[in-house]
Amino acid sequence: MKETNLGRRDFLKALGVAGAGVLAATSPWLSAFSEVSHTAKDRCRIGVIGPGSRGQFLMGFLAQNPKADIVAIADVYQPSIDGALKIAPKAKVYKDYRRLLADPEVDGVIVATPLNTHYGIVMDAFDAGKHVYCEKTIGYTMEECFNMYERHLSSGRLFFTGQQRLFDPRYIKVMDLVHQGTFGKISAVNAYWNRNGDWRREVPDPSLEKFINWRLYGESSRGLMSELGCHQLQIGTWAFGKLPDRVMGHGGITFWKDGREVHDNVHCIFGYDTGESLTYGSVISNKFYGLEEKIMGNLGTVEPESGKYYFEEVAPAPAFLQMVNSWENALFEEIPFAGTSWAPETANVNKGEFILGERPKTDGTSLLVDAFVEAVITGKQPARIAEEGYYASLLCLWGHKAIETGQVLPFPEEYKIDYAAYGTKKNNPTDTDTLA
Amino acid sequence: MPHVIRQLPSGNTALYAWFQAMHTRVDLLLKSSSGDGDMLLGIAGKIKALINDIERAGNCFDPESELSRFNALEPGRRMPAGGYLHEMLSLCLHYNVLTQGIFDVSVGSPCHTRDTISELHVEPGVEIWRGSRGLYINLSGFIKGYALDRIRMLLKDMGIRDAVVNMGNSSVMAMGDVPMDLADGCITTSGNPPGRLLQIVNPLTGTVVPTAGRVEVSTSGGAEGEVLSTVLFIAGDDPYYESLLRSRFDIRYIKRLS
Repeated sequence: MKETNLGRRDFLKALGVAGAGVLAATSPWLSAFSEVSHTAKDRCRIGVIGPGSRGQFLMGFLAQNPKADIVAIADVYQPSIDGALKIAPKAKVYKDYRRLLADPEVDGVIVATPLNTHYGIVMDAFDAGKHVYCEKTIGYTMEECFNMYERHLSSGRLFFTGQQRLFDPRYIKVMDLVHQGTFGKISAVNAYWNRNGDWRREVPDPSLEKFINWRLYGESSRGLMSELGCHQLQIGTWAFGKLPDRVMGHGGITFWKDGREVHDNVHCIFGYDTGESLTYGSVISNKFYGLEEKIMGNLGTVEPESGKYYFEEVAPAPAFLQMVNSWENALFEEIPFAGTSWAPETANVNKGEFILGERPKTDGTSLLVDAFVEAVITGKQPARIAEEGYYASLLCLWGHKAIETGQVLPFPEEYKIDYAAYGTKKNNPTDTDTLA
Repeated sequence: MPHVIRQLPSGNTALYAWFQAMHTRVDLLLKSSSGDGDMLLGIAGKIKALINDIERAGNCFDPESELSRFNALEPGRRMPAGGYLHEMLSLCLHYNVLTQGIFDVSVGSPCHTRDTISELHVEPGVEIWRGSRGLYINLSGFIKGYALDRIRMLLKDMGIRDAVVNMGNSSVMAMGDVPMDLADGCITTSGNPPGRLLQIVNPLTGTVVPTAGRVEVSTSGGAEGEVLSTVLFIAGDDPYYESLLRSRFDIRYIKRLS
């Protein structure tokens, strides 16, 4: 029998809380696990459309989940099919995704195809009555994203997006602290994702260049904005709890002049009506600063990717944080408190503290996939998960548009959904109770 | 005020808050069964305000403090003292007697002698005055422990039974059910840390205690802890003083640290 990948207890332990109910306000989508014990003997049947590298990565988590059966895969590229069958040897193989959608033995689908194909597949999937997990960015245009979201609501089918940070224990804990005001007033989120590489994949035949390297071409991709920015821009809405109202941007091809059409460096500034800013930048010819989102408050800074936070003045004492954890987890291993042997480590150099008391171990993808499986079994849409994904996609497409036009763009009113209504019946017709 | 609030599985709420006061760090760990995080944060705010009030009363390095005004007062001239300063000075006189003069907050006075402290006059009401221009009072070795005792009273008044309060790592107070080996008491450390300037003066000899090291004392009260750790450091391992102090104070343990 397969070992369960859904270590709820471990997950919550990693968060340093006994129950996720306390996190409901910050991360209400954790309600996906509210019935995890009741569904222990249930299973669901998942089809994977586009089992390329990302699709197979997700299949790896499905294969470890005893509640999920990968019953079908669909792809037009044989090497992807061959790779996927190594993970799910019994899966039915379809060349045409529409035949997979017509398969009554498929309850839900994971869509991990190139960006420009998401819309047609996802809309067809909702029409076929399937629950949908779509990789981000969910649509090639803002209009597509809006239509997909509306179809999710009208169909009553589940809609998950590949925003794995929503289930990353570091980010959940960070947002809980941010929303409690631990770091004071947050004025800015500064996100960046830098690499030093051409972002290309090996092409066995020149005729497959645009098929394999679809990320590099404008007809199929929005480049760094859609493929990397989507993850990080969602952190802004999560931290601020609202949407920006204007964006400006710039991008160019400065180093990788190899025939690609998408920029190899992009930068956007998103502004909020109350003055805060969210910046995003990505350069793929310099990796020195790597990947991070700096959440900056007047009392401290959080860097969730590195898993650390820093206080401006007096840092919290590790021994006291340990005592808080002892109370939380009722461990009551007594902390040595004998004078000099118990110094709360107030070093002059601000090395920061680990958010979870240790180096991060997971990015949340496995839990996101597990949450989708749980939701397919229960048929309940976790609160706000579709909305967070929707707005994450909109922000990167909106930013991309600002880069392309060179203008300061207001947020398009026609694509607004009520952020304050997250978790309500209006936006979540199958909203569930939060995890107790 | 930076803080962390946690809902505990027992249904209680925990708050950890930290800030700078009295030229050091303060850590507060509070638990409540009846209140929410906002209530605990409100109590933390009251504690911070209390510490500030005590500091404004007894910080001799602040020229605006009550104590600074007292140290500059013309001999014989009386001044009304606020409750905190009045109580601190009264206690210090009391502990001076109980320790046979080794605990002496006038030790920093110019031309200090064993009798200098007698120039400090604290009337039973609110007035204080000094008999000599040479009297200078420094409460630095006492004020944190006094603050801990006041904080404990405040916490009890506010219905908090479980708490840990740390004042600069050298004075720690615990109440009730806490994850540490210190139930309803205080740990206080005094001494000359290795590698630092010698700073503690023996009022009986007028010279600094020449040895490095520290004394850690566990007591029921914070002010007592400050007094005892200082006196035991100055007295060294003289069994007479240790025996005397054990007979007059509630001492749980004494540790001498290098």
